[in-house]
Amino acid sequence: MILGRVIGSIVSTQKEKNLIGKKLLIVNSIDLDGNLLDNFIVAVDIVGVGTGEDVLVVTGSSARQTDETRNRSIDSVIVAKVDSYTFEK
Amino acid sequence: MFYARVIGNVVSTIKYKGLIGKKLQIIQPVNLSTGKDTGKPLVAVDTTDAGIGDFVGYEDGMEATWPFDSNDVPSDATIVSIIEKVNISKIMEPESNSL
Repeated sequence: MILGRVIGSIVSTQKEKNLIGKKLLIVNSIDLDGNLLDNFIVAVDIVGVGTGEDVLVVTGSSARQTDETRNRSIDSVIVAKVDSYTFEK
Repeated sequence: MFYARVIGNVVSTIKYKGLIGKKLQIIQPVNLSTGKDTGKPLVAVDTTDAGIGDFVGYEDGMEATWPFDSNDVPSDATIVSIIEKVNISKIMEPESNSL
């Protein structure tokens, strides 16, 4: 899972019907010190997060292992809102 | 399976229902032969009881969901083993032909 920060959202009206009703957010991946990296992902939000919050993004076919994304054309999904994390190098 | 070192953990209260009760660890992939860090750290679901400093084996991709009984666990990295020891024998160079 990738650690990222929500920096915005996507508005799209013309889309594949299995994506209708899905909230699309732009996630910027961050390193463990909280610095923004040069890597952006558009992910479907299934937990309800907002801009500026740190999240965990699951990518690939594992992203379809939820009720909201099963059998849909989705390859990245926000599965958790990060409250805090600790690490030692 | 890939080789990594546990360097931290993540606290999250709002998460998808399939992840409730699952331990989330921050792992740093390690090169098996040199023992040096390689690539960026990532967050993995822990099925073992690994702690900070432990060397672990993890699966990524779709295989990361297989350790779980239900198909409702969205995980693209899962710690599946704690590694105590690695034995690597040096690949022997073929002996020079004495002809």
